[in-house]
Amino acid sequence: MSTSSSSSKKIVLKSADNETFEIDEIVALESQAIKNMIEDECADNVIPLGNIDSKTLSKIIEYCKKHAESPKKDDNADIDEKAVEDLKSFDAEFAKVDMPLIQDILMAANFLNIDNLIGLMCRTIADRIKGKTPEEIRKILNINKNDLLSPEQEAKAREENSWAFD
Amino acid sequence: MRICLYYGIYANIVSPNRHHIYSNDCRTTSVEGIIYKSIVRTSVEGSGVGFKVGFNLGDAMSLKLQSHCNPISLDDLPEDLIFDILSRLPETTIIYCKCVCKRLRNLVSEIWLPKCLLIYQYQSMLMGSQSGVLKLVEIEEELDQNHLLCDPLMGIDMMKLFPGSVIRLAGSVDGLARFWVLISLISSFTPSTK
Repeated sequence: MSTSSSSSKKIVLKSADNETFEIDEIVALESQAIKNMIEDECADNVIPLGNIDSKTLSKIIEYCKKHAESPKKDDNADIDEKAVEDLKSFDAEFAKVDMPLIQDILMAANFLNIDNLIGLMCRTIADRIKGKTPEEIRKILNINKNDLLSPEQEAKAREENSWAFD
Repeated sequence: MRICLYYGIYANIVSPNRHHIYSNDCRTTSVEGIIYKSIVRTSVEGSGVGFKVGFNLGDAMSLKLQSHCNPISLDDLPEDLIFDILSRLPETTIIYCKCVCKRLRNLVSEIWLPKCLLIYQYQSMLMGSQSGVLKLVEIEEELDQNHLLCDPLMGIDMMKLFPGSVIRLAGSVDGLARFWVLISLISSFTPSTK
């Protein structure tokens, strides 16, 4: 089944920096939050997303487009393996961005309630810190200086779980 | 009203009396165009369990406008997302996270180590919806959604086990579930697997 047709309903999203994005309704429905708004008929013209900048929003739309286009599991039990592989490699490519953007996307996906994307971003962050040392994790996650442990606190945390540091 | 437990660490609660029924993974709900976020967290300290029910007026309020000279950091992520990330990590890395910063240290201390993705779903008597049957649930992570795999036959009728008690699930991890039984009895319990 082909998705987009010129007559399909459009939804307009507006980013924090006032850029507007016109997308097909089916793409917008990937977001549970927007879906609820549409169902409740609260999405009249433009949906303002005052906490998502255009860079993040365009990434999110890219993701939603791809996922909206690919056939859903429930539609067809013996779904073609190729489509699944294709989506997997899309996801892998999609996640190859720097950490600040990943965290931006995660926050926005959480706000828009796009479950697959939340999962993908959490998995990406987990993969990046998996097996790393505390110092490396600190660097990767861009920890705020105010939130660092004092040397004593850190020593205590290490001592409590010394088995893990051998 | 419906509660879903994730990894035995946190749960999402879905707004009562609203016209939406959500899937297990629901995180937000919209009511009259306002996006609400709702979280119920079970606390596992001490002998009791508390349900904190909070409706936050969207995490919209806490979502900061991002500027590029001040990149978003871990501090900005809501707790449930951090738990989500932590639950995907091997044990050693979770322990390392305790040394990374104060926020992670506190969050890690708050949870039981999720050694694996086994959780129990307790069809809640609490809500008076169903009989209190404890079920073993496994999370199967799929590309487009998470499935809760639940053996339809295997279930433990908690009402029979503790007749006349009010039982709540205090938490579960790695195949072990802990309950809070109102008649001052705390039990830890490992059911045999198939």
